[in-house]
Amino acid sequence: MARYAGVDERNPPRILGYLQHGWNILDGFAVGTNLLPGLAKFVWSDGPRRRGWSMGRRDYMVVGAPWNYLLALEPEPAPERKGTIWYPFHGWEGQQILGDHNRLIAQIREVEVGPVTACLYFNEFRNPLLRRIYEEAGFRVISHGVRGRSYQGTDPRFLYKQLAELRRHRRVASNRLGSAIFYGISMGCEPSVYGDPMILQEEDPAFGGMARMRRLWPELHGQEIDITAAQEITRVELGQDYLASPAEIREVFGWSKLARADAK
Amino acid sequence: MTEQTDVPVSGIHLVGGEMLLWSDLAPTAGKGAVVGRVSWPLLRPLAGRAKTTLILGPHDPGLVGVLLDEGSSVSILVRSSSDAQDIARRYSEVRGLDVYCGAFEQFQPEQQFDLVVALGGVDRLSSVDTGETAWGEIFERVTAMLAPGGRLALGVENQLGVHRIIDTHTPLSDWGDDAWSPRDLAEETRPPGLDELRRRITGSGLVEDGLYGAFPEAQRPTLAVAAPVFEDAQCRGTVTALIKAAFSRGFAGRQVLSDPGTLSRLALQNGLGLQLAPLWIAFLSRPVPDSDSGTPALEPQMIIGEDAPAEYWSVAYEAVPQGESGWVRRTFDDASSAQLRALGRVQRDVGLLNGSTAYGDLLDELLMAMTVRQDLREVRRLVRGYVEWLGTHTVAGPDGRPALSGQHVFATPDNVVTYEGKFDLHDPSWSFNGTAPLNVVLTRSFQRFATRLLHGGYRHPWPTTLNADQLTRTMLAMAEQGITQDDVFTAARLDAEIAAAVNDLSPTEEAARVSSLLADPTTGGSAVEDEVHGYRESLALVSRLRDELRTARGQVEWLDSRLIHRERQLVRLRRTDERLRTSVSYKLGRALTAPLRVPMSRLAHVLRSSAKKSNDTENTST
Repeated sequence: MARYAGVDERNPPRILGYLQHGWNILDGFAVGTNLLPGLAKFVWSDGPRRRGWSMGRRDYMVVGAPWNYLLALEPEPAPERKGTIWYPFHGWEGQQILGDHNRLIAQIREVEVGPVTACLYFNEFRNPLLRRIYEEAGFRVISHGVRGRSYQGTDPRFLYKQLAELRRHRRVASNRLGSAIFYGISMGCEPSVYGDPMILQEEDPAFGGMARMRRLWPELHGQEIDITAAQEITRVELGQDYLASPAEIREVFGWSKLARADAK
Repeated sequence: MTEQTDVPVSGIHLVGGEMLLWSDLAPTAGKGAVVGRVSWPLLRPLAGRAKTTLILGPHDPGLVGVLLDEGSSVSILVRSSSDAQDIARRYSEVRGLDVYCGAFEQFQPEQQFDLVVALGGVDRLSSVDTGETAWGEIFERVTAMLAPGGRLALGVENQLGVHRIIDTHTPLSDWGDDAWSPRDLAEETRPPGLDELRRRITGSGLVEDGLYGAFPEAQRPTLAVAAPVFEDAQCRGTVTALIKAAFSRGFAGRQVLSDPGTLSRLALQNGLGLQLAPLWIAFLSRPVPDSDSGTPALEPQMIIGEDAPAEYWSVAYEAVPQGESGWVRRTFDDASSAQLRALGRVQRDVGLLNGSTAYGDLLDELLMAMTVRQDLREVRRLVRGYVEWLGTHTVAGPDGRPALSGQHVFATPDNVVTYEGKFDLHDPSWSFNGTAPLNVVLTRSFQRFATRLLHGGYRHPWPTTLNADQLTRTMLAMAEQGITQDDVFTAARLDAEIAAAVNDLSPTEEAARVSSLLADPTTGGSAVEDEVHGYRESLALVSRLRDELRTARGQVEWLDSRLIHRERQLVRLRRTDERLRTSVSYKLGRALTAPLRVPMSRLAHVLRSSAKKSNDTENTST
């Protein structure tokens, strides 16, 4: 976002507000996020704004996903696409999910015809046991980087890596609808959502769970998905019609003074 | 919330877009469900003829039971998950109910329905997940859900209804939790006004069987008036009275821009009663192809759904105009409506509502009109007629004074109808189990009238310096009725006793009402809580108070100038006095009369003290 807005991207300044981190089916933020009242909430699409509004939250502004801004900066090179990039939905409990991974791999091998790249969440990628399971299945195993926490350890090239990978693949798949699938669709990948969704045991009921997602977006579930419908939903969910200009971003993120200081 | 979502009630069909953190039935935000029961009598016979009924959107859950009782199977769609669960739980023992939960956009019923009820219209059907779909699109989809010959009961909120005109908030500044995508702003497909709505209905191939203007609010209609009744000049007096009553109950204690009763009366007088109704309820039917027999039209009538502030007293009845002769009123069959209701000394026998009543105007309306027109002769005629009429119903009270009992204690001008110089009770079902002196009933009547006159800042033919107390006495003096301060206190207590029973007030609230009525009798008492507080009326009141203040200031200035004048006079007189006292002739005179003055003053002293003694003995003996 800093690069798009024309401010120092190596030391991106703090945003005066909250920026939605990933695709979300509630109000744009993780349940229990302690939001400072009155501080702006920058969200991907109108859905989180409406839901948040109904819960009594205000100060929303729809800016679209940061992904859209990355695409605007990185025009697509001539693609040569093959195979599938598969994003297993990530959990935390090692043993419980291990069994599920084996079943999932069997399902993937059954459905996918081309080469498969398995993109693991960083803490799963660091687990050699888990990595080996995917590698033994003949998959190429990667990770886009570390998420980080409280401004520490975040990999700033995460989305760049994801962009590069998605451009290389013909299909994008996961066992659960999420940001990666929408990113893939926006890149022209064929989407696919199937397999054991590995529901977390203590998932917050406010989200309504997997079943709720299936009811709302039945078009985005299954091995074969209608690409036109998928692109229409992606346009809405990533807020692709909401791309703001660099000057607008500078103003609303509280960066306009910084940009002026840099220019001096 | 967590508990409810964790333990789903079986039998709910989730269609997608269900709102988990929202309720329209127990709203912490938003306008809530449509809870006016006024439509129930109209829907009952329709459900009786329907095999399948669909209720779209949040309605009073009691409606489900009403329709099931008529033998129709019922499907209901609500967007809130907890509302769906409440309804499913409430009717878990009953067969024939399907509860659907989610956004209307996701709802794909497998069948068509004989009756579709959507009294909230297209509002509150979409969820936060789907956003708002255009009015026209929803209307078309709802229409398609009707089976041939099926009927649709559709509520359409009037964006320019009286309730909106008097609202202190504009939709443009609505920051409420339910206003995530306010539908009524820049919504091109919503029919602008009644004519366009009717064109849209015809355009969709539906036939209008009946159209009602409902009051006082779209969410909570308590009165429904059929379109032809608005056009009948004979009906106007009663319709005006009922609409005003519906507004004063519905908006009691609320801040509005202008008194809705006055605005409605003007609307009716100008033929815009239906056009400015807060809600239109349209009964539409889908014709059976190749069939001439249409569905039977609804009888033109007026439905009074809830006519009392507390549910205990409320009764639903219809009033049907019968040619020249007047209204015929019928209460709707209901086990609870048959029995006599009572709370303290206040009683209601709703059976007495059944029967004919004449067309006519409410005395209160007429009296106010004549007062504003400054027609003292007509006011005097009405007041005398009313007092005489009440006089014919008196009995001997406990103190020997003429008193009223039973229904006639409730014969205040807002419950008395007048026609061709005659008077009669408008609603004879209320009665008082006891007696009240005639003067007390009259004081209560005119006190209310005078207070309203002053609080509304209305024009009147009396000196503007009169306060409510004086106005009451003046109006009663027109009919040669003198009242005492005791009558004023008793009237306030009677008023509070009746209000407490009718409004279900606690003893503390009742006592507060008495003191509020007697708070400041010189300025017309403080505002009673169940009044509608109109901004426009407040401005008129401010203007009246400013005039009063100017008058009072003028009087102070005048008195001040008189005082200064008198003081100057006094100074002049003192100087003269001084000059006289210091003159030689005065001193000479004093010296000459000195020997006589001492015995004279002694004598005066003796006379004064003996007079005082005799006074004291007189006082102790009495």
